[in-house]
Amino acid sequence: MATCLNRPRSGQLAACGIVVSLLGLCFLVGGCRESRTDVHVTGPAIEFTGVPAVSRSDAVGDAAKLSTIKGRVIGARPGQQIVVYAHAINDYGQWTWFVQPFVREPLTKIESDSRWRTSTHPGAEYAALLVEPGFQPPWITPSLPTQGVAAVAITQGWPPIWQSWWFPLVCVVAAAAAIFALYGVWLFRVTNTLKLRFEERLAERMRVAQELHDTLLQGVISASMQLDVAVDQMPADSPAQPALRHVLQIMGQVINEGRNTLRGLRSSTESDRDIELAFTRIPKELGFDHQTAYRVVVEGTPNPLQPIVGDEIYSIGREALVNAFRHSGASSIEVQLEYAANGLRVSVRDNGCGIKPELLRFGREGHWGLSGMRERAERIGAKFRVMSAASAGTEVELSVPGHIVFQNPPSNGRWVWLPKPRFRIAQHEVPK
Amino acid sequence: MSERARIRVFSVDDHPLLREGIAAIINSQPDMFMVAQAANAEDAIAQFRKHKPDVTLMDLRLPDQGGIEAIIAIRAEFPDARMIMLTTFEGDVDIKRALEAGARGYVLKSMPPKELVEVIRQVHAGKKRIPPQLAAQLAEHMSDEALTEREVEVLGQIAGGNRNRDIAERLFITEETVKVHIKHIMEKLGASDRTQAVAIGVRRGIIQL
Repeated sequence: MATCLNRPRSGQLAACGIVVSLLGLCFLVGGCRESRTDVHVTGPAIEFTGVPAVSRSDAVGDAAKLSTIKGRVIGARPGQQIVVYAHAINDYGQWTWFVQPFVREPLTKIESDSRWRTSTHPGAEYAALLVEPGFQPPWITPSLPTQGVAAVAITQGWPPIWQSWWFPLVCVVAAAAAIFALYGVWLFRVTNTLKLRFEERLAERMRVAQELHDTLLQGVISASMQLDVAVDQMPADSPAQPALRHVLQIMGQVINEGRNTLRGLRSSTESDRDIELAFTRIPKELGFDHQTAYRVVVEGTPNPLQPIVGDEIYSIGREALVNAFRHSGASSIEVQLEYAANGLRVSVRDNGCGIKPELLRFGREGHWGLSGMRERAERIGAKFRVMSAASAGTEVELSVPGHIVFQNPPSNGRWVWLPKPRFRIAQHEVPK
Repeated sequence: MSERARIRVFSVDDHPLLREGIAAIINSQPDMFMVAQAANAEDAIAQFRKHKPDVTLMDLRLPDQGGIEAIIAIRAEFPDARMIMLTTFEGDVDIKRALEAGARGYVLKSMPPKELVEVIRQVHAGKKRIPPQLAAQLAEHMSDEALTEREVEVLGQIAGGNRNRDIAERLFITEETVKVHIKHIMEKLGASDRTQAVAIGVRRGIIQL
């Protein structure tokens, strides 16, 4: 089982659960019942291997109910047979031994492998007698016969399955296995749904890219071409020319960015393998990198992310950073990426002024982008939390389960919940 | 300069706005003018027959068939036709296919207009012209193993957001075969997942947007 548990793949989880269930079931059916046999006579000996469960008192002597009783004989001579009695209360309220299963067939043969087996009505106790050939068993008797009897064994009905010591254990194991299997199935379905969603989104991106290409990009390229021609036709000393050249330059940049976006099919993380680097670049991209100490800290061993999930994480983190840089007035901002076996945790922390509680609660539409971040987090099955205090700044925390965020969920640390205590500082900018 | 001496340029592009831009550039040059325009491959072939332009600027993507197919069709009839591929992207596979089809130049729409008119002049003079950045792109993947037709088809289906099962159904192959194709595609493109494979495919012009 250890190998199974170590690999938290959903299919395997389900398989593990099923195996455990089956084991439990086998245990249940094959149940290890101890035999409780009282041997009264030395020499040959009788042993019970199967006895009906303890009967309820109202069932004792019930003529309509038959159960199997079986056992073994050690040291029986040829011709000897078994007589089974059940101890029950007769019509006069007295305890009596009744021959089993029926008065017309009171004798049970011993098989060649020294086993015997017959049926019996329910009793409080059962007796098996090893009798000599020609023995005439009394049908009903207050006490067991001794004449012509080579051996006697008496047993009470065995406790029913649910009273045995191992039954609760099996129940617990089976329940655990069932939960495990259900969890596996759930995980499998969630992962599958997400995959499907990713595929849909890939198609959607292609469509959007196509539209961008067909409309916006071609239009801007055309405008840029015509502007270029117009600028060329202007007199060289025209005061508008430098301004128009600048516009042309901006358009060229826009075209290039647009082309890059389309080529990559993704808007944000061109370095899709390295979200850390992407975060490190954000302040520079946004033109914020002068006033605030900013660093990206990575804990644990980086593990490649699912690209689309990585994009979403990047977008959420970027939004949080924009808020922090723009509104918090913080002197220090930190992004922490925590790679653990059970998932990725991204925290964006600042020591600024905090978000007003009413904003935090209602997440006013379009403000702080909180609702957008929350929606994005929901889409990738991540937990999203914003903690903020007026004096202590703001922390935005995003936790994404490993089976969603990682391309290859780590296999060797499912039970290691604590991140490795290794710190790596990606970039540290000292305030100027 | 007389009408005959100027370079007669023919523009094929399905975006009217873009044709307008190209026309503005061409007509602003003293030594060339726009003789005709077409918005699809069929019209392009018909217009070519009618005007027999000196230089044709062909878009890679056209609504009815690819620009490369249009080049092949025109050159089958007019082997001396001088054509320049004018597109948005610099995928090495596109460049290669265009050159194989007989294009004499490959220019990006985003390049400065001066470069475009320069390429037109050179191609008109009988030269071949690939801007250096595109040549580098081409060289980078020269030794790469090309995707088979089937693999290109599968990649296109992935880009369409289809699951393996859907792809199998559409291409009349088993899901296992689809998986094998995808494995090969990833290996050849050096991609680690489907999204990346599609991105690389688009970037290199293996599949078109």
